Order: sequence, then structure tokens, then C-alpha cells
Amino acid sequence: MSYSSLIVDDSAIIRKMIRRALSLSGLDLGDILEAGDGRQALAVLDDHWVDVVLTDIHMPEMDGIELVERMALDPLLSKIPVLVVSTERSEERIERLRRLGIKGYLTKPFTPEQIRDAVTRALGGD
Amino acid sequence: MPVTETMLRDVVMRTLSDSAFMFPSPTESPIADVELRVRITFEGPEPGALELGASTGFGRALAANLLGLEADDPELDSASEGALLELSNIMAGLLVEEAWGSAGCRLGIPATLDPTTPFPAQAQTFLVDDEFGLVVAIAGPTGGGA
Repeated sequence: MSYSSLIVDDSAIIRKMIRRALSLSGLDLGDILEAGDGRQALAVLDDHWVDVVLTDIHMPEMDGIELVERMALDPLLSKIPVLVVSTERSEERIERLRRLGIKGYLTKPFTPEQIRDAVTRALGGD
Repeated sequence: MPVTETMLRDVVMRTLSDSAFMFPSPTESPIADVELRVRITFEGPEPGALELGASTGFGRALAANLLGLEADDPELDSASEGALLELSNIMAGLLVEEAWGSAGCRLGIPATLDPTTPFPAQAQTFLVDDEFGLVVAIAGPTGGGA
């Protein structure tokens, strides 16, 4: 079974880096969709089901925290595991995101192995 | 603890080696061909900003390493500025953690600057592969030296 994913980051470079890390991770991947901020991500999720969302925190328009909050309030979207990939290291913010139900937190820079392990855990694997 | 010159130098070298497999050497020589300039603000015990300046050649090499592209890939023309923006983001995250731990520091969104904008005092310069120059500096919140 292949997994579809949504990468949410305002940096095209980071979206490409995560896409590359996913492709090098050895995971069985289906569609990899992209969005530039939380608002675009919600629009994508209106039309597409994905198995995992990887999102940054600091983005214009709608940041990653609001995206996670909105997904948590939606009966359907709340079922999608969310991984946060950010430079943010504030324990307070990370704890807030954990309380909202995120499945993992990666700080930049990251390796393909870290992405693979985090996505695998988020999808319920070992 | 305030950001020190040693701390900044270590973060620059660690970020480039870990993120992009680039190994810069500090240099006293000025970098003449600054064509890309970026800045990211941070809030915390001592708010300020991290500023970077580099040549297009550095930006292309950085983007190539971050994205795993060949040095002559045409995609690098449009990716070099974004690569420097992201480098500033990663460096700033590491720097505020190094200086003040993981409590309460927030980063802004990296932004481009006019390449001719003067650098704050005590800017540090680096060379990668004896060829590509990088300038790094800490500024106060309104652009003054920290």
C-alpha cells in the first residue's frame, strides 16, 4: 500500500528537500502534494485525502499551529496524522502542538532517515 | 547568554556541514560579490536579527547541495535565493537555542534585503571551497549593530 502525503511550507526549497527526503526514505509513497501555507493546505485537503501531513510552523496567511488547530476540530481531518517540521525549538510551542495531537516533531536540518522514521511512526508503524 | 562571535561562527559551520555538506573556513578577507542578502528576526530575551550575504555562486552551490542537484542544473538559477533564506532560518533556530535554550524564543519569517544594505558591525566572513563567500552578522531589531 502506498501512502499519500501533503507537505506544507512557505519555502519551495524546503518542500523540495522534504520531497527528496521522502523519495530517499524507502517508504512506499503515492501522491506527494504541496501547499505554501495553512490556508492552501486546507484547500488541498478539501479535495484530496492524504495519509500524512508534514507542516512547518512559521508561514504567512495561516501558520502551522492554526492549521493543526483547524484539523483537530474537523471530524475527518482530525484522523490524518500530522508531523511538524520546523526550526522552532520552543518547548512551550512544541508542547502546545503535542496537546493538539500531532504525531511527531522534527527540527531542521533533518535527514531522510529521520523523515522516514517519523513518518513511519506517524502512520502507526514501528 | 548573548550571542557571541564564537557561538555564531560555530553555528554557521555546523549548519552548513549538517544541512548542506559544505565546510566553510573563517576568513579576514572582505567578500566583494555580495549579490544575495537575507534577514530573519528573532524574539526572546535579546531580540534581534540574523543577516546573511552571499554571492550567487554560493547560493547556487548551497541550493545544489540542499536539493541534491548537479552544479549545472538550470533549476539552481531560481533556487539560490530560497536556499539562502532557508539557511538563515535553520541557522537562526540553532542560534537562539544555543544562546537562550528552548524557552520562549520565536523566529520571524526570513526575508530578502537589498544586496547593497550595509552589514552590521562585527560581521563575520567565511569561504567555502576557497571560492564562495558568505557574510554573517547579528543585528539589533531595527538594523543596528547588536
